Amino acid sequence: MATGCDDLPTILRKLKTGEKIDWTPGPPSTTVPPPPPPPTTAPPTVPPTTAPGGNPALTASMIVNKLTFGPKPGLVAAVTAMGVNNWLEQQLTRSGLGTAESRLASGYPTLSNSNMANYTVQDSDGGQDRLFDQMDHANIQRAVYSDQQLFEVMCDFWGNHFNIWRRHTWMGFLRTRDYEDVVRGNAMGKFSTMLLASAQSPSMLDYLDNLPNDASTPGGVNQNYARELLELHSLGIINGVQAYTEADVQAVAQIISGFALEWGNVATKYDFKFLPWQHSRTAVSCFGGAVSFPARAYGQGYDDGITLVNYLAHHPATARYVCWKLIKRFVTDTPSMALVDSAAAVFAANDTAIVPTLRHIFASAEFAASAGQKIRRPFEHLVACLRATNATMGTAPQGNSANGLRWSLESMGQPIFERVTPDGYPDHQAFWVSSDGLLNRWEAAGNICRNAMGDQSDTADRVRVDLLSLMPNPLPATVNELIAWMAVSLGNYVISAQDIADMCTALGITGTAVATTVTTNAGRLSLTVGLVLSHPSFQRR
Amino acid sequence: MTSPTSLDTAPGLDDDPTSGFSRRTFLAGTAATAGAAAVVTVGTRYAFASPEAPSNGDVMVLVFLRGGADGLSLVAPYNMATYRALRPTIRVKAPNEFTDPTGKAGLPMNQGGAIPNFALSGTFAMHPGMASLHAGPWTNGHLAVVHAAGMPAAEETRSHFDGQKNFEFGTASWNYSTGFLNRYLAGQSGVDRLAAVGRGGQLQRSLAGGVAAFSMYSNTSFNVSGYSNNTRARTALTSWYDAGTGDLLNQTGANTMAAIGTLGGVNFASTAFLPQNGAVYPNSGFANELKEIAQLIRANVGLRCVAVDIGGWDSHDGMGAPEDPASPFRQRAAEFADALSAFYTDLGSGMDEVTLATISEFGRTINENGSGGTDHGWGSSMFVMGRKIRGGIYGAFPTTIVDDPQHGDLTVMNDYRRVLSEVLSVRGNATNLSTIFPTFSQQSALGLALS
Repeated sequence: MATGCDDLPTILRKLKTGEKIDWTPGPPSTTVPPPPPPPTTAPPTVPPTTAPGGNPALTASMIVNKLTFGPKPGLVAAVTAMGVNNWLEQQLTRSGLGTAESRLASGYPTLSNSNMANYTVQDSDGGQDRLFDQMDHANIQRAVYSDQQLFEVMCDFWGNHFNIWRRHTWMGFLRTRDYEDVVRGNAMGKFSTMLLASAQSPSMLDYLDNLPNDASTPGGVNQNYARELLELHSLGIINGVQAYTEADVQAVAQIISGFALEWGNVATKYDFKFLPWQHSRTAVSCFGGAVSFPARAYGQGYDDGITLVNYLAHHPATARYVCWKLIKRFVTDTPSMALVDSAAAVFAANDTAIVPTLRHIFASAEFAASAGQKIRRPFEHLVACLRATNATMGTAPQGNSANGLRWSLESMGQPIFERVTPDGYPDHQAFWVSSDGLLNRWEAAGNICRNAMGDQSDTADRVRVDLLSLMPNPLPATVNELIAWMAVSLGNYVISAQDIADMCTALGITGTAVATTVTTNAGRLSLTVGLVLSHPSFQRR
Repeated sequence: MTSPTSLDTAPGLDDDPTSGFSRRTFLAGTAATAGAAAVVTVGTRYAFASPEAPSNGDVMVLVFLRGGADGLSLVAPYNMATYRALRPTIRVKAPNEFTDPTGKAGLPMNQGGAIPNFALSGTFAMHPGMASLHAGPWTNGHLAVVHAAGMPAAEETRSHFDGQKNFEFGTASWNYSTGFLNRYLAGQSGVDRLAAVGRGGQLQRSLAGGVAAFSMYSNTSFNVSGYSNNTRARTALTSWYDAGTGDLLNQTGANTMAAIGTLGGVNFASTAFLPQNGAVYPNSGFANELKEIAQLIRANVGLRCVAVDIGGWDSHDGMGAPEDPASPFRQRAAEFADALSAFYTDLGSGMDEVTLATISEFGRTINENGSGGTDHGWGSSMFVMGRKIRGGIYGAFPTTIVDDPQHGDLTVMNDYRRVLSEVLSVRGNATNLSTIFPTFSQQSALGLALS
């Protein structure tokens, strides 16, 4: 008889000491029973182990749906073999580059270019398209092919948290360094480091109008970046509750004025630079006096900005807001404030480190019980379809594969790196579940499965699937069993007997017919798998 | 019955027994059309740009100017001394302060000159980029302007994101998660088929709720595609996405299938759907949306409420001078105005049964900032257009506008819900205003809508 779940202070203490935490098992999952073993090769019979501090209530099936961009054939079995919590720790403690980076060895020079070098690229004919296309296809391939899936999911998360619309001004060439350095460089590091990097990111300062934020002009400061720094990047607003005033926004705009760019004709042109002639040097006090600076001499003020951003990064409201968003991402559209508060305590106790915070969320009963509670966003849906079908694609950033996938994301309402507003793409189902959105999801799944995603004319560069190669060998006896196998082994969900029967009716075949009734007819096979990826259960994670 | 919808109820779920509308009825009505045949026949009515039963009320078109539109530029208090003083470069100028070294001063403002031929009164002038809206709907007396409009102090926010949510839900209270247009439709009878359409890939929050609402990117591509056999795919998806399960994903899938059946009988390529009355829609995304909305109205598919967006109003810098035809704000204002006036011309007498209203989440600061733009402010201006709208300027406006040290912006003197309450009740037969705008205490009508 278990003695029950540890209370919150005990959990927090044990998280630091590494002692084993006593978790009351969460309520049984109602949506994802353990999948039946596929009739293909059985997984290795290594007994699952539980890492210290791990969550025994997690299943391989749910954690693959939750922490990756979707199942790949064989991944759930591999996670089971490794042990759910061992795999989770491996994802949390990544080292080195992921397996997708080798695909970017050729054709992606702008990812590592300096801002000045990327300016030169943009300034050439078609240069901005080359910059943007390299960003887009690099990150689509990372999501599809990287083995560091949780890292890629977190890059997507932070990329939206610190969203920048790269077409806001002519300086779109700055966006690459922001995403590669600010977002990808800190996605599993410390939030305070990331916030400081963002506040000194030329692309962000350009996008949110801090370059023209010039206290010396007659009109005074520009509030745009200051407001979003507070509202979207740090303190946040949760359910209408905000921790700052209009006067604070104005004060922050003054403190941060002068955070701008090097404009001189040097190698570091377009990199961050503090411009004292734009900076407001008058005395300022905000956040109830918690942040106060006296009047400054000309040339001073940069350190005040850094002090301010550090203050914001470590503010309790920031801890809650960041954790609220993380829980929205991984658990539910409507986070419980109990989990938000406990995660915020971990975030604060670890000097804003992201990994311990994630570990805490993944160890929670709420997380274990959250299978299927989130709707895959269009980007996640597209990548999940590509992973489920082991799709291949060309690596060229401006090839047919890249163009077809980019267009598909656009049609589904989530063009990559094109969110116009600084809040990033929303992370709740009410935004994404719409008539047009569903029609385009279903179309993407169907097109991938019948090899019609994008232009197929270039046989060396196109998105391709080989569905026959995915089928189990030997095949199960009947169509009914084959469809059940597809749902589990490709889609990582369990389909009901009624839904199988309805599918057979729609296909005009009988469920008890031999499985080759489906597999020997290419059109029927692509239709069947395409529909498996269009089932309501595959839209959830 | 006026009980508000609970926050915990995800939008789009249950039949509302108080609405006089049952989703089962809706689905039963369209189930027969799941195959090739459709119950919708485009008959004689499409000569009228109107709902099939005008007694149901007008088609309501809600235009959201996203980003916080500068109402002081759209409709400028151009003779106010404080307005002139606070906006050195971006203000709409009066002739007596306009000097034009290039010799254009004798031309109308929309041609670069100084004649304010868009003056609406001694106080207000429409932005020079909005010539078409002035020449058509305003001159015909079918355009109402309400200035200093927005959310009152108790519910205001300078956040785009919370502000847009509040305007679309009709309240700043976090106890609501359905759109005010959806709650309006829930109180109407005879709501079926494609009653509520949001233009674009995602459904606008103003339409979210228990009454089936559809996001539609284009009229003609609204169908299942991408499979080796799309008919079979449609049959499977129809069987899987179950209506009435209380789940948004399933319900939306089921509604979508039903709507495909409804639209399947409409041939949008026929000449009956070309713009009429000589209307020319400009080449812009927003204009195309209004053109397709006019087609949907003509198609008689049961349309009652439409939500459509025009973005790009977050003008923190570089708005430019209104008299410069190339200035960014002027181009945006022209895109907006030209699309509205084309829609008005296209529908012609059909505008007897169509009312279009515009909102934006806030206006902008009165003073021009150091970057030639304006920051987040408070009051903005609204437009209401229709042939049963009495043209003119309505509502209170401050006698002077000052650079208030706390806000530096235009005080809201006219709650946008006062305007829309009148529109929805007089033109839309709404009788459940306290449900539509639950935290708003009803005020007397401004008198802009004709019954």
